[in-house]
Amino acid sequence: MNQKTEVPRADSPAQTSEFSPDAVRILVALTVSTLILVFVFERNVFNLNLYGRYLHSFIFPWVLAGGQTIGNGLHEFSGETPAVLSLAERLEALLSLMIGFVIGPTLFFFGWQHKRKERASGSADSVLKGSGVIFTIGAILTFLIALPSVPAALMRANAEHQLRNAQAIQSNKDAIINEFDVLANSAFQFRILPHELGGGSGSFVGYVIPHGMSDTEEASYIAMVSADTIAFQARSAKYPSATARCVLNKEGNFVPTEWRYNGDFE
Amino acid sequence: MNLFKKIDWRWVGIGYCFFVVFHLLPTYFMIDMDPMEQGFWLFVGLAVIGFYIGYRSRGITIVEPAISAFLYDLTLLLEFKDLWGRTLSHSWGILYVWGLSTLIITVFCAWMGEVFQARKEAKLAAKP
Repeated sequence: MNQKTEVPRADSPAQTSEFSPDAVRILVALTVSTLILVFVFERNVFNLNLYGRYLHSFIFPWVLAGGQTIGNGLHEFSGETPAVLSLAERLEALLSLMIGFVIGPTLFFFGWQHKRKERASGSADSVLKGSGVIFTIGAILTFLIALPSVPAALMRANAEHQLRNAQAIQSNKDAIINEFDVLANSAFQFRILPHELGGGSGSFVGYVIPHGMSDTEEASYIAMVSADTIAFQARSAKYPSATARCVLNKEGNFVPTEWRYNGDFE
Repeated sequence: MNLFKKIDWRWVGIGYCFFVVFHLLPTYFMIDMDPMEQGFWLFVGLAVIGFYIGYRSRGITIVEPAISAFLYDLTLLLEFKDLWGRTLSHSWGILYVWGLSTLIITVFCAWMGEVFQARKEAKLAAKP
């Protein structure tokens, strides 16, 4: 295909009108700003580290919030009180929200409305106008920040729910393990006591889980007894599909290879 | 020589601005996003800009976005920082592949834009 084989029609506007002056001005200004942002400030090309952190991170509010949450967690973990947000950090958050959720959609919808009005009035849109550039910028901000925030919020809520659920299950599992320990002590006490004192005289046979310990807030327990071993099985009261099982040997120790978890405890 | 005389250098400039504002800037803001999304955008963004220039410009404009893309690639070379005597963090092979892909995608999509533009004009001309 040859370049410029199409001859401009006599009634077509001159080539200079392909771009309006304001569109060119806006584009050049944005280009220069972008190059300065990316290559001078951010990349620290000329050692102009004016800001001290990556600028791109504050365009997404959730990145800021995530960073702050991790920072708070690290502070808590190291025994420090989480620092109060500085004014700069608050301004960052405000700017981030303004750009993503106010300025971007506003430019986008105003540009859209402007285009619709132009179409309705029948005015030709063959000229690249400043409003078109602004509309595109608004669309990019909207589709890059505002719209992705919806699935991001849903995913965050889902992740939080899953995390809380996993924590609750783990908490229940830990409580059951603790109660297994209490039952093991009780069973071993029974084993070492003579018959005369209500024990098993060296055997687990005859052991019954004491009243009040077979059904607790955490789980219900059953014991499967033989002379030298006793197996405890627990069914979670909070997660009925979850079960745990352990075996106690004649020395009163849990057999490490006999721990079993099923259902939600897996 | 004749070919270069016919090049519309204004579209070269505007195309370069498009690449910087509508490709580099979003790419820059996508640094924290998923690498798959970034990779997708790197190529799709070029395609969209090439298509737009081909579709929007009067006459046939295919070499112009290619030149803009080449200038844009030169700008991106600054990212590798070797111009300031620092370590080149990427291999030259990747640079060749990226540069070539940029040109191919831009030229192809500008041509597609021209095809769509011609169809649109034909439809308009066919209207009574």
